[in-house]
Amino acid sequence: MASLNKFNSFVEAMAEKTHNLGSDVLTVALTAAAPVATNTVLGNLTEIAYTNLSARAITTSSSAQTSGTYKLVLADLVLTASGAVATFRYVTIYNDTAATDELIGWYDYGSSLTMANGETFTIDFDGTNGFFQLA
Amino acid sequence: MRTQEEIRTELASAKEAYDKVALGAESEWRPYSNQIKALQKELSDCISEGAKPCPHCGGQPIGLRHVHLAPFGANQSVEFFIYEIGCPCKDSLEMSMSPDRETAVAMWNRDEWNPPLHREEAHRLRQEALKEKAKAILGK
Repeated sequence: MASLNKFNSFVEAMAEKTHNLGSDVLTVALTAAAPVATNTVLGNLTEIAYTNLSARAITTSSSAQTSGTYKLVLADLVLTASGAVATFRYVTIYNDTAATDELIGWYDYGSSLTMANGETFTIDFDGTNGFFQLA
Repeated sequence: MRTQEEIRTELASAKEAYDKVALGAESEWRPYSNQIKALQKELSDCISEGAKPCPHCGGQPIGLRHVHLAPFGANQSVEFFIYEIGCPCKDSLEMSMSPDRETAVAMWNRDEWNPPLHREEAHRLRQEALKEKAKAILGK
């Protein structure tokens, strides 16, 4: 399973009311070039074209703490191609509701891939163990 | 208890309303945010209804519905759901998954957990969904 790489600015943004992870819409961005930890907003990335790709908004299932440990639980997201989709390798999660689309983290698929018409790409989030934890 | 679809419909409306004021004053968006969280909790409880308390924290486990797609032909796909029952408490790693909600709950209640298999299980379910679709089209 790919590991989540954190953008450094995310922790400060969390502390300064930029994110309301219980309600904000988290969204997937796809890139061919690797993000770096010092990126802060979506505008820092070069995304592929999404013309033939299904919706990239993620469903939040649970945003709560238990005994002082917070977990954000996200439902899996399946992207479907309705035509050819450009090559990508990195999957970035960002906050589409936040003022400047602040970045949260990214995954490295490990190799470049393309999607042909009708193909799907599943982002299999770690279910009840959480997208991330805050203790 | 309301149905999943009833809750989802109201949740979608609440998210739409929240999105319109999310960047405004907190007094505007906080009520919608609270409503969204309450609806998410209600939806989770609806999915996990009947599940026994978490063996670690004693709390009600949460329920998720993952939407999966199996491509079929050109620009078509077969949609199916995988329900997951688990607990987000810090000591819990267990989760039960099944395309049927009641089965996922029954597995949780039997302490039958399948986290190491769920990707292979999802692949198997995709293949089965494709076979069913093919049968339906071929009339067999």
